[in-house]
Amino acid sequence: MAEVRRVADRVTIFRGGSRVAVHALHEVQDEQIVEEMLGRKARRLYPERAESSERRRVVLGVQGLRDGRRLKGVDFDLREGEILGVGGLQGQGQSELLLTLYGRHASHGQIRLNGTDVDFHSPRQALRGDVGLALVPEDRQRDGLLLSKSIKDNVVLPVLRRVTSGPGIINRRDEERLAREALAPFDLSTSDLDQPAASLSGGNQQKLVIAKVLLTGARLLLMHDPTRGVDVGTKAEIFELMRILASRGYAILYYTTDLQELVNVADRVLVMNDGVIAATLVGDERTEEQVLHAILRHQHVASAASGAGRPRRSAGLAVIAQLWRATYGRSSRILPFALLAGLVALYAARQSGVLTVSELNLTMAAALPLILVGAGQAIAILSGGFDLSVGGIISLTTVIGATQFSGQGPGLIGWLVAVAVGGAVLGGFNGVVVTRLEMDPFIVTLAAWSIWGGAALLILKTSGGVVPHAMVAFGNGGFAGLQSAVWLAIALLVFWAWLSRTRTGVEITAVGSNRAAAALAGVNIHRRVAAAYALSGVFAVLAGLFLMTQTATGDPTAGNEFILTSIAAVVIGGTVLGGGRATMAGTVAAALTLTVIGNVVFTFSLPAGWQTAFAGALLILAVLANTLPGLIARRRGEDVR
Amino acid sequence: MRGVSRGANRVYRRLTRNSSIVLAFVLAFVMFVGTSLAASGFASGSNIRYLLVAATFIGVVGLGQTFVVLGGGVDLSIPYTLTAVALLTSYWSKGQDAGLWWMIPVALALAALIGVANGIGVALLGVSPIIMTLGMNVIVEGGLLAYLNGQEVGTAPPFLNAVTQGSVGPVPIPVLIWLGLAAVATVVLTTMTYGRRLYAVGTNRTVAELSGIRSSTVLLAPYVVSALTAGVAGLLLTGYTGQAYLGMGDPYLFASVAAVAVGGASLLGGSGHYIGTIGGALVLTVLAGLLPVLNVSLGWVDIIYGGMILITVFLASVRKGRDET
Repeated sequence: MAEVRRVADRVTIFRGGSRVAVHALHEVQDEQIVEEMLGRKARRLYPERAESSERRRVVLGVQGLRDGRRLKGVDFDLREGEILGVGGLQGQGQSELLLTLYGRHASHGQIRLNGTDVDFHSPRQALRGDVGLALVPEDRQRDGLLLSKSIKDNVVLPVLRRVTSGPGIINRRDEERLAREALAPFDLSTSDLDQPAASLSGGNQQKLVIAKVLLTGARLLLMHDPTRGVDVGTKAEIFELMRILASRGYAILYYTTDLQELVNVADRVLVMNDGVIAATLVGDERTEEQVLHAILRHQHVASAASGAGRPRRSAGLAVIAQLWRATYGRSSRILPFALLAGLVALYAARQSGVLTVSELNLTMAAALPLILVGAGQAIAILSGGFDLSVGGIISLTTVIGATQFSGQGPGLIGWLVAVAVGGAVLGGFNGVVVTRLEMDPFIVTLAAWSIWGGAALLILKTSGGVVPHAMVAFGNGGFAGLQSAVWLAIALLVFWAWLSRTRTGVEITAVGSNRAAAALAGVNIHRRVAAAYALSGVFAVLAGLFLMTQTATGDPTAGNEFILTSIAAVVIGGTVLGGGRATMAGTVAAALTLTVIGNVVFTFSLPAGWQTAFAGALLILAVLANTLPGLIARRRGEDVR
Repeated sequence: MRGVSRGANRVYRRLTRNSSIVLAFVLAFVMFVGTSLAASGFASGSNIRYLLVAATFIGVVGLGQTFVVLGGGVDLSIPYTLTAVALLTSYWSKGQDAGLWWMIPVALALAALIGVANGIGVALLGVSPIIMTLGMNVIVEGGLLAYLNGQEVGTAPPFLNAVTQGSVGPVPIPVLIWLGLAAVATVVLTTMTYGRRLYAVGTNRTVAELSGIRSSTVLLAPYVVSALTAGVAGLLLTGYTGQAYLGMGDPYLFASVAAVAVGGASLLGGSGHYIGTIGGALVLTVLAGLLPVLNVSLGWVDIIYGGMILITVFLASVRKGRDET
């Protein structure tokens, strides 16, 4: 309300979807506006506060609480029957404090509940402790409710055990009764508990969250902006409810970004700044001005003492995570090359004649199909998706080639151009469906894999057909001592160097790294994503064509093995799944690695299956190397969620 | 009177809310009747039994896939998990019954281990389900090739033949096994706390965790279920066709995903029912059963699977978009 007055000149009031009144702001009182918003006389927004709770029992004692990042030693006591407000500028560690107490983030320091030290590792433990702790999360739609599930499902979710009998069977009647009991105090103006939570208004959704939290039986409530985005009437109800709960002995830690509500609702106000409690305000000090003063005073003191440095204690896991980031993070670019060099060294040690041009020619010819699919896959992944359909497209290419291509010269070139364009169309189709229809790339390209693979089977039931002699000759021919495969790999790297400097390349990268930002910057998302998938389709066709020159046959299942290996080559090569960064040299090195593994396995006279198994294991390891540090960081609370 | 109308109301609401499930069964039925009219013999008892057994294989692997998809994942390791159980059992038994009592449990236990590995990768270590299970599929394939050392075909032991080719009254035994598994799955998903938690985690993992649910355990279990149902399907398939061979599981990658999608489950997790997957398995089977009638190539099966996935997921997203506006 205060904000409206600061900013606006006139105010228009809507209720139930229609316009109720328009006022010049200087002509109306707040009370009248509120009345018109509600359509009835408003109750007072803020309920009476209780008398001092100084002598009450301490329920929650926190000392020296740190989370390794935002929280830098938080100390406070929360008493039975108290609403303890937490305020300050946003992002000073308030939400981390709530999530840490709730067991969502790991922490150091002392947390005492009813005089006993506790160390919760999950919300589950926090909820189930002797004094239950429960959280009303910041964003009810994101973190509080299963919007598509029913009201009843949402309310009973944390207490399913209370409505089950026997081996975990839910008793529907108990469930219904419990849900109705929990919702009774909230006059949720609906009797149909089977409606989805999404159908409720914002205020009623918030009441639903609070009902769910209260039903857990928790006596200590952590409330994060419980009145954000709800109507004035519901605000008053929520504040009144908080007061009633406090009078029944509940303890409430109440963080709000609204200073006015903070100072009017809380019994005491903690002002947080830079990860510590800067001040505790009681009695008449509870004003918005005092909160701001406390912040400024603390900032002043902190800047004077900044030479002291930030205290930070690292757990063993943290050290490992840091080391990992320092070494792997930097070396991920050279990792595929190191891997390849190591393998080649091992191979050379076991077999003579490895480090020769002819061996290079052989290896490159064997690896080129994978290198080419990998190149396309890298572009699809760069754009933020990925492409399983390459398998189908490769198979289709080889069978079309082996049955339709004829002769040589212009006719053959016409065919080659035609299938390349076909690849662009099939790939582009994926891209269009993915962006225009907003379907998951996994589903779309899986379906496309199945369709194009099936089409290949229509043309040839088993491998066969004839590959034009000119193609075989080209694939096995060469120039200046190097086979065409080597030249094609070089051409690919040149192409990539060029593409990544073009507008198309830059914009595909932008879309993959941050779609929303790219759209705001004027990038045509649809066109760029379609282009990325089209390129992936073209490269799959090229891979199929080169594969034909090596196998001299068409195979309706030839492409299937390339789906996993192409993703593996890209990921091992150092490209990040999720988009925004790709390396072609790394992809080439990784594809070579996956090929050389086969040779090395052969020198150990291991059965052929090991090569396949190694590729799979290497892929999973490479992905883990990318995801694990983030996972550890999240467990340690370095991420807000 | 009021009680009756309220009950009818509830039934009506259930039907509309699960319209895609109803649609799957209607579609299967209409296609079946249509084909029967066009081709005599399609509706014969023996052909119906054949179709039901064929649907059983898809339905059983689809069971595990349904659990995985409900949790927001996908299992692409089904083909070689299925093949591994089938081939190992026939390889160890050399086509004889002796020792089957330990071979089948051991093979299924190995399948469960594959599932546990998938589950650990996805639920605990945060690897994308597609990568994890696709990688696992290849690892199992490679391991199997290496272990069998070229023995790529095995004969089914007589016991498996007898069980899978027998019938109780007119109903083939595999179909009975399917019905039993379907009953268990439906009970778990609709009436048990585990089912409720799985839906919750699949809908929104953060909300589920903040509500005190151990999401990692909840998400791990479906991969084990999926590996086990794939293994069971492998045994049934071996017995029914008389042999196990490398690549026998390949069609079930698309088939399981397509059955789940046609059955109306969201491939993004959190909504759907196994009953829908049953309908999906029937649709796919009748469609595939049409093909010999129409006298066309097997490639159409893959094309149909892919097309069904694309169309149903597209229709679902359209419907969702309409609901939200």
